[in-house]
Amino acid sequence: MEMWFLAIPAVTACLCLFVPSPAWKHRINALGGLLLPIAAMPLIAQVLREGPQVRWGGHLYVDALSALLLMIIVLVGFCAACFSLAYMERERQAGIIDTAKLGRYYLWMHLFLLTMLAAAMVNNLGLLWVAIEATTLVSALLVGFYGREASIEAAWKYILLCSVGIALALLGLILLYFAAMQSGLMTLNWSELLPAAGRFDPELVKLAFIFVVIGFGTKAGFAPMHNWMPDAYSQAPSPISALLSAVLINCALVGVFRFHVLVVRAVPGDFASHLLLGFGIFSMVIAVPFVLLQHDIKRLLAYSSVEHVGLIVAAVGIGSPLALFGATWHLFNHALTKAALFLIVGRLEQQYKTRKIARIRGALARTPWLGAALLAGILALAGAPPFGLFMSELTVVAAGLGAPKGWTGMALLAPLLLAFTGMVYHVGKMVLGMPSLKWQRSAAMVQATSGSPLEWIALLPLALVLMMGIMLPEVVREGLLQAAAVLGGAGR
Amino acid sequence: MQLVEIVGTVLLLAAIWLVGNRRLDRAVVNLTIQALLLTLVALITAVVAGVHHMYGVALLLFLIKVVAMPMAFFWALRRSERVLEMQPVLSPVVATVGAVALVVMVYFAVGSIRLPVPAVMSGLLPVSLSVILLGILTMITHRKALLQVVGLMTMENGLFMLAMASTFGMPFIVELGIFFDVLVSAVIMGGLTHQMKVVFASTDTDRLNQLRG
Repeated sequence: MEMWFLAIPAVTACLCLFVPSPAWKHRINALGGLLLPIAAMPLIAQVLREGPQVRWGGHLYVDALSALLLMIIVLVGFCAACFSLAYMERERQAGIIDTAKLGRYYLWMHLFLLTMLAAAMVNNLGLLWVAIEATTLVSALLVGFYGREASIEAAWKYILLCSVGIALALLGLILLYFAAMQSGLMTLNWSELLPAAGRFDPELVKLAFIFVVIGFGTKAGFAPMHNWMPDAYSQAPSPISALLSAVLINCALVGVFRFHVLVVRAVPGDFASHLLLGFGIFSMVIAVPFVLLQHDIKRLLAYSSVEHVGLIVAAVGIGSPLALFGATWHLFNHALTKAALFLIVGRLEQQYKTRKIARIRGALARTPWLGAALLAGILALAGAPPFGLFMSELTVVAAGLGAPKGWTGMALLAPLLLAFTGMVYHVGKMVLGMPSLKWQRSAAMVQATSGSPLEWIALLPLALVLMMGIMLPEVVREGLLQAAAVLGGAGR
Repeated sequence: MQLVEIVGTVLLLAAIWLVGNRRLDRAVVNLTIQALLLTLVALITAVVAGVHHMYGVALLLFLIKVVAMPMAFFWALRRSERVLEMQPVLSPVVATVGAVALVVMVYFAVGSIRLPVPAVMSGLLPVSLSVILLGILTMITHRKALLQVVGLMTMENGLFMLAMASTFGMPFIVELGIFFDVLVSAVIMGGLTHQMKVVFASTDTDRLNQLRG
C-alpha cells in the first residue's frame, strides 16, 4: 500500500494542468510537494529498519542507496515546489509567463519528480535506463521553458548530448545483458544480477562498464561530457535548476554506482575503481578554472556541481569503507546545499534582474537577509566549517590520503582548495562593498518587490547541512552507512 | 542467421550513404529504409530463433519507426523548410571516405579485442558499432537540427540491431520503455526544432552559439 505515494506527483501534475485558477495551481502544487515526503517516509524508515524491500512483483527494489536517493528527491522536491509558488507567481505578475504556461510548468515539474522517483526505485537496469532517459525528456522541456534564444540553445544541447550519452549507456546494458545470458541468467534485475556477477565474462563486463560510465556519466556531469550542464542550469527556472543539480545528477550517479558494484565482482583487479577515480579527479581539475574565471552566478554553481560530482565519484573509486561513507555523506550534503543555493540565487536573480556576478554588488547592504543567505550558502558549498560539506570533504580526503596510492588525497585536496578560493572571491565581490550610485537611485523600485514567507523554505536544506556539520544524527549516520555498504557491494 | 548479417550490412551501407547525403528529404527516406531493414531483422530473429515477443517488437518498430516518424518528419519538412539542399560541414566525397575509413577502423578494433562471443555476435558486432558511430558522424558533419535527430535515430538503430542479434532483444518490458522514450524524444525534439525555427528563423544549429564559458 505504501507504494501509492508514487501517484501523488502524477495526480498533482494533472490537477495543476487542468485547474483553471492560477492561485489553485500554486496551492495544489505546494500540497503535492508537502504530501510526497510525508507519504514516502514510512518506506524509507522500513528500509533502514528491515533492509531492502521488494515491491510490485520484483519490479521495484528499494535498498538503503535508493532510500538515500528517495530522501533527497522528496526533500528537495518539497522545497522546490514551495519555492516555485512564490517564484512563478512573481514571473507571472511580471508578465513573463501566462496562466497556461504556469500549468504546464507544474505539470512538467511533477512529472519530472515522478520520473526521478522511478529511477531511484526500479530494480531492472533496463528500466533504470528508461527512467533516466525519461528524466532527460521531461527536464529538457523545463530547460527550454522560457522559449528565449539562449534557453532553446540550452535545451537543444541538453537533450542531444544526453540522448547520445544515454544511447551509449544502452550499448553497455546490452553487453551486460549478453554477459548475463551467457552465464544462464535471463534478467536485468539488479537484485538477481548481483549474486551472479562473479560468473560474468570479465572482458564483456569491462567493455559494458566503459560505455555505461560514459553514458550515465554524461548525465551526471563527468568531465569532459559536462558541457550541457552550465547551459541547462543557467537557463532553467531556478527551482528546476535546484532539482537538476541536487537530484537528477544523483540519479545518474547511482546508475553508475550500481553498475560499478557488479563490475567489481565480475572483474578482478582495480579496473573499475581506477576508471572512476580517473574520471573523478579529471572532473575536479577541469572545473577549477571555470569556477575561478566565472562571470555568471548560476554557471558558477554548475561548475561547482562538476567539481563535487568528481569528488563523490573519486571517493567511490577509492573504495575503502571510510571513502564510501564519505561519498554517500558528500552526496547528501551536496544535494541539500546546492538545492538551497539555487533557490537563493533564484530569488537574487529576480531581485537584481541579472545573473552577472560583477553586477551584483553589496548584497549585504542592499538586501541584508538575502545577502546573508547567499554568503552562508556559498561558504557551505565551498566547504567551509561548520557546514556538513566540510566534514564530508574532510572524510573523503582523509580516505584518499590513506589509500594505497598516497597522492590520491593530494590530487583531491588541490582542486578543492583552488575552488574554495574561487568561491570565496566571487561571493566576497557579491555580498560585500557598497552598491553603486546608480543602484542607490533605483533602490526604491526594487524594494517594492517584497518577498513571500514561503521563499525562506530555501534555508531549510541549508539548516540541515549546518546541523550535519555540527552533529550528525544517529539515524542519518546509520542510513548513510547502510547506503555506503550497498556501494561497497554488500547486497544480498 | 546469415540472413541477419546480410540485412545488417545493407543497413550499414544506408548509414554510410546518410553521412555523405546533401538533401533533407533524402535523409528522411534513408531513415525509413533503415527502419524497414531493422523491422526485417526483428522478424528474422522472431522466426529463426522462435522468440515470440520479437513479433511484438517488429510490429512496434514498423508502426513507430517506419510509419509514424517518417510521416511526422515529412510533415515538419513541408511546413518549415523551403530549401531541401543542405550545406554540410564536409563535402559529400570527403564525408563518405571518412565514413568508410571509420567502418574499417571499427572492424580492426573489434578484431583486435577478441571478445569471447559466439559467431552470431562476432559478425554483427562491428556492423552495429559502425552504424552507431556513423550516426554520431552524421550529427557532427551536419548543421541542420533535423539531421542531428536523424543521426541520433541512426545510432539507436545500430543499438537495436545489436540487441536483437546478441540477446534476441531486451526483456519485453524494457523494450516497451525504450520505444516509448524514442517516440517521446522525437516529439520533443520536433517541438524544439519548431521553436528554433520561430525564434531564430532557421534550424541551423550553428546559430546556437550564445552560451559559453
